[in-house]
Amino acid sequence: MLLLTRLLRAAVSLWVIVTLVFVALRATGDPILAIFNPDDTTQAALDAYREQWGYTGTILQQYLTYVNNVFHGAFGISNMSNRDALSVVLERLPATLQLVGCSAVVMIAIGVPVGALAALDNGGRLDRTIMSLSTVGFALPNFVLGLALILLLSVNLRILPSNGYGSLQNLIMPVLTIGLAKAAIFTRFVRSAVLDALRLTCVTSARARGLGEFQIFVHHVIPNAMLPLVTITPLLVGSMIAAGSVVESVFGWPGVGRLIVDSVAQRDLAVLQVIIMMVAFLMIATNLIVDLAYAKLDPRTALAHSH
Amino acid sequence: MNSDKIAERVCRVENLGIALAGDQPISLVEDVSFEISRGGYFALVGESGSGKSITCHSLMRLLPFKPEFRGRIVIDGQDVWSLSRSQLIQFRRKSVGMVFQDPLAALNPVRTIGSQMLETLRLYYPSARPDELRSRAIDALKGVHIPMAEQRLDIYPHQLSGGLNQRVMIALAMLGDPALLIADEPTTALDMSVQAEVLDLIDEMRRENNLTVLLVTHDLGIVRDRATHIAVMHKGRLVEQGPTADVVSAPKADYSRELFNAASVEWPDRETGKLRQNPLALTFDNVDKTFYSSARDRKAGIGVPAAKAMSFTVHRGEIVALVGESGSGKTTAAKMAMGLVSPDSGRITTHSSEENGSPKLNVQMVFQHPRDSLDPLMKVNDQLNEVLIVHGWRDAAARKAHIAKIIQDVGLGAHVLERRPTFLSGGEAQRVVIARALLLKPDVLIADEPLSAVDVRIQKHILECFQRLRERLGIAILLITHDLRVVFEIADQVVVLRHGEVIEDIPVSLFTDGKRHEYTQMLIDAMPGKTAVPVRELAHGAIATNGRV
Amino acid sequence: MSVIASEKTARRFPGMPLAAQLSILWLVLCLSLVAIVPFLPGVSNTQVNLLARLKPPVGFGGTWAHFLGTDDLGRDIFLRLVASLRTSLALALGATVISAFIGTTLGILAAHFRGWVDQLIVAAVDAQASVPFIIVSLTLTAFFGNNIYLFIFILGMFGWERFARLSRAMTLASRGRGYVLAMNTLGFPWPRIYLRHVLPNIASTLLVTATINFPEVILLETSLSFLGLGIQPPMSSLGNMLGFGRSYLLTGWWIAVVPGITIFLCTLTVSIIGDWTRNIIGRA
Repeated sequence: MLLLTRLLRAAVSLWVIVTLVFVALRATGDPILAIFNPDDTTQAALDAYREQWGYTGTILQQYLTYVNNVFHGAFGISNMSNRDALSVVLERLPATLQLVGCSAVVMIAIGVPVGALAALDNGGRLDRTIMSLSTVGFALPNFVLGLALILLLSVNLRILPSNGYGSLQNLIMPVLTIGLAKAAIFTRFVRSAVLDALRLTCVTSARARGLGEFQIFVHHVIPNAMLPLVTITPLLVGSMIAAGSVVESVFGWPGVGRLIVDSVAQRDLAVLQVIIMMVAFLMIATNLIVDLAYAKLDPRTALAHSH
Repeated sequence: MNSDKIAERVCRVENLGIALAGDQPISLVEDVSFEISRGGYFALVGESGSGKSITCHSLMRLLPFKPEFRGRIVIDGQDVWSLSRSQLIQFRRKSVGMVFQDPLAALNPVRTIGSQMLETLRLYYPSARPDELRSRAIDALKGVHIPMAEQRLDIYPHQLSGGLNQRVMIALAMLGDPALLIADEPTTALDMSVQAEVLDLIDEMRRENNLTVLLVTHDLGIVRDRATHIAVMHKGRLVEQGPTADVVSAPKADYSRELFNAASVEWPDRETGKLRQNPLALTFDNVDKTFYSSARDRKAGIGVPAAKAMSFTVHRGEIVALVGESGSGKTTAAKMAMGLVSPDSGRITTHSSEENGSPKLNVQMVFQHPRDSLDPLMKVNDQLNEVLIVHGWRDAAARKAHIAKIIQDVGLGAHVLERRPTFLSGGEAQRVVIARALLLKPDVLIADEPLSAVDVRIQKHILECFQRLRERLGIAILLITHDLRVVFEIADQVVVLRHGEVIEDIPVSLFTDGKRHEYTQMLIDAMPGKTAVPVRELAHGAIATNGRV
Repeated sequence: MSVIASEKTARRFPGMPLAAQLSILWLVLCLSLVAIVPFLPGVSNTQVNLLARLKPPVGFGGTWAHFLGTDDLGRDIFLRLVASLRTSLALALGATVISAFIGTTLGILAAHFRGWVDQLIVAAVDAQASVPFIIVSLTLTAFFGNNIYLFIFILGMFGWERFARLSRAMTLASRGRGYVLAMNTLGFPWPRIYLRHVLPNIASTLLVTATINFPEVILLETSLSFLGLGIQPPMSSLGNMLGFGRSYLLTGWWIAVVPGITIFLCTLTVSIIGDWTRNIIGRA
C-alpha cells in the first residue's frame, strides 16, 4: 500500500515537471525561432518543422503532442551538434556517472570513519581538529579547489593532466575535488548522527547489561545512526549533481554537467529539456528509494503492522 | 574483600563524591554514604536535581561524562571504580542489573525484543544453540508474566505498552541473576494503573531470588508502602537515612520533615454544599467531541472520544476539580471551555457577571508550565501592561494601580514586576501567569495541571493563592488534574472523567465514603501512600499536597 | 533538532576564540576597503595599461605600484579585487535579506494558518529543497536569458526554504509553548503576537541561518559567474575574475589565485562567525 502511494506521488511529480518545462518553453517565445534562424529558413520550412514537432494547433493539442513526444524520447534536435537531443545527453552520461560514483565512494570512505571518530572523541582534540578541517573544506568553493589542484599538480609539479578523459590520471583530480568537498560536509552529518545514537538510553542500557563496546557500537549505535543518514541521501545526490556541473567545466570533463553549462550558454533548449527531466527523474527516484529504505530500516514507520 | 562478599552487605557506598570536571568543577554529589544489606529494599528519594540518579548511575560506572570521583563503592565484594575494563564488564553482567525510567527508550527501537534478549543471553551461554537461547528467552519473559511470550519475541518495542516494556527490561536485567537490582524511577513514565503492577513484579523478584533492590524515586508513596530503608537526598547530599518506619514517622532533618509532611494524605471532610447554591459560572450541557486522525477514519467512524454527553456545572466561588488519567478528555474539556475547540454537539455556556463585557474573555487559563506561558524576553511589568493596553486601558496610572492590586491578590511582592520570566522561581512564574489571567477580571479561571511542574513546597503557595482568589474575588476555578491529593486539598466538587464520560460528579466530602463507582475507587486505591499514618495524628501544620517531590 | 527558542539569560561573552576574532578582523578589513577604496581620487580598476600587462604581485617579482599584480589588460588586480568584492558582497547581502524576509514570512504564515496553506508552503519548501539550486539557476538563465535583474532574483530565491522551514518549526514550537496561546486567549490580535513576541524570540536562530546562507550565496554567485552565466563584464565579481584567470594559469596565476583566496576567506570567516554565534546562543 505504501509502495503504491509513493509511486503515484512520484509519477505525479514527474508529470508536474514535464508540464512546467512545457510552460517554460512556450513562455520564452517561439522555440522554433530559437533553433532556426528565420533569415536562413523559408517560411514553408519553418511551418513544416512546426508541424513536425507539434507546435501547431491549440495549446492543449501542443501539450498532448509534447507529452507524447517526451514519452517516446523525442525531445528535438540539439542546435549545438545537430543531432537528436536525447542521444547527445545519453552519450555524455557515462562520464558523469563515473565521476559522481567515484566521488561518492571517496566521500563515504572518508566521511564515515572520520565522522565516527570525531563523535567518539566528542569534545576532545581529535574532534575539534576534524571539525575545523570540516569547516575549512566546506568553505572552500569547489572550483577554487579544482583550480588549485590544477595549479599544483599540473602546472607546477606536472604529474597529472589538467583536463581530458579516459585514464585514471584524468580521473584523480576531478574526483578529489568533488569527493573532498562533499566529505567535509558528510563528516559533519555522520558525526552528528553517531553522537545522537551514542546518547540514546538504549546504549546506556546495553552497557548496563555488560555488552562489549564494539558489540554495542555495531548492533545499537550504527543501526540508529543510519536512520538520519539515509534521509540526507537525496540532499547529497542533489549537491553532487550541482558540484558536477561546475567541476566538469573546470576540468573539461565530457559529462552531462559541462553539457548543461554549454547548453545554457548556447540556449540549446532541446538538450536542456532532456537534462532537466533527467535530473528531476533522478531526484524523484532517489527520494522514492530513500523513503522506502527508511520505512524498511525503521520499524516504527507506517510499514510496520500492529500487534 | 572476601569478608564483604560473605557478609550481609551487598552494597556499600563510602563518602561518594562526584563532580563535573573542568576549570571550576561543579559538585553533583557530595559525601554520600550508605549501606544496603542482602535482601533489603533501599529507596533513594529526592527531588529532581538532588543527585539521586547520578548516584545510582555511578554504582555501575554508567555516567555519561568523565567525572571527578571520590570515595569508594563496593558492590558484591568488588570495588567498582577500581575495576579494569574487562572486570567492569563482568561485574555488570553478573553482579548488578539496572532498570531505567523510560522503558521504550531503554530498548533499541530498530531491533526486535527477541534479538535483544538473545544478544544478552549469549553473554551467559556462549555455546548454546539458537533454539536453546530462544527457549530461555521465552522462559525469561514468562518469568515476568508477559502473556504470549513466544509471539512477543518477534515484535518491536514500540508495539508493546509501557508496562510490558518495563517487564521486558526487568527480565533483561535479571538474566544474569544479579545480587543487586537498581531501579531508576521505573514507574515515573507509566500510567498510574500500571505502576503498581511493575512494583509488584519487583517485589516478587525480590522474594523469589533473594534480590536486593535499590529504588530511586521521587514518589514518596511507593517508598512508604514497599521500602525497608530510606535515604533522602537534597542538592547532592544525603540528608537522612534509616529504616522506613523511623524516617517516615519521625523525620529528623528539616528537609525530610517538610517532604514527608507534604506527602501525607488528609481525607477531606469539609462541607461544600453551600457553594452549589451560588450563581452559575460555567455549564457543560451534553457535550460531545470526537477526534479523528484522518478523513477516512471520520467516515468510518473510528475516532477517539474526548467527550461523551459530558455535563457538569461550575458555580461562582467554587473550585471544581476535573479528574482523570491521560486520555480522559479533561484537557479537551478545558480547551472547549476556552472556546479553542468547538464541541461536536451540546452546549458550553459561560455566564458572565455584570462586570465583564465580552464572554470570550470571561474564561482565562493557567497552564502547566508557567515559564513557557510567558514571553521570555519581556519584563513582567511590560507583559502585564500590554494586556491592559491591548484592551484599551490608556491611563498609565490606572493600569499601574490595577496591576498592583492583582499582584497583591496572588500574594506576590512588587519586586517581580521588574524581572524577566527566566529570573523568576517556578512558584513566582506560576503566580504571574495567574495574575495575568486575572487582569481582565474573568469569572472563570481554568487551571490545567498547574502544579505538576512545580516543587512540592511551592505547590502549597499556589494552592493558597487559589483559595485566596476564590474567597476575595468570588471567582470560579476549574482545576484540571490527575492527582487526587490536590483534589482533597482544595476542591469543593469533583468530576471524574474516563474516556470522555463523566463517571462521578460529587462533593469532595463524599469521595471517600466507599460507595463510589469502581473506577473512582481504583483511582483512590492507586494513590500511593494511602496506607500511611493519617496526618491528623501528626503535629499540626501538616498539609496535604501533592505527594510527588 | 531542538527548536527551543533561546532564553536570554545573563549574557556572558567568554573570550572570543582566536578564529572568530581573526574572522571579524578580515570582514572589517573587507568592508573598509569596499567602502573607501572606490572613492579615492585617481583610482580606477578599469584603467587599461598595456605597458604593464601580466605583472606579478609583490614578492614574486612585482612592484608595490601594483602589489597584487596586473591582469592581461594591465588593470590593477587589487583594485579589480575591491570592485569585485563590492559586487559579490552586496549581492550576497541583498540576496540573504530577501530570502530571509520571504522565507520567514512564509514560514510564519504556514505555522499560523495550518491546513491547506501550510500544506502548500511545505510542499513548496520540499520542492525547493529537493532540487539542487544551481540547476534551477542554470535553467532559469537558459530560458530567460542572461540579465542582471534575473540574476538578483535568482540569488534572492536561494535558501528561502531554510528560513521558511526554521521559522515554521519555531513558530509552531512557540505556539506549542503556551505564550502564544495565552496571549491569544487574552485577546491579543495575531499580528501583534507574531511581530512583537514570536519574531524577537526566533530572531537569533534566524540570524544564525543567515550566517549559513550568506557564504552559500557567495558560492552560488561566484560559481555562476565563473561559468560565465552570472555577472557579466563590464561588471566584475570575484567569480568572473576567476573565470577569466583560468586561461592564464600558466602565465598569470595570480589573476585566478587572488580572487580564489578571497572567496575562500570570505566564506570561511562568515562560517566561523556563524558557528561562534551559534555557540553563544547555546544551541549545540
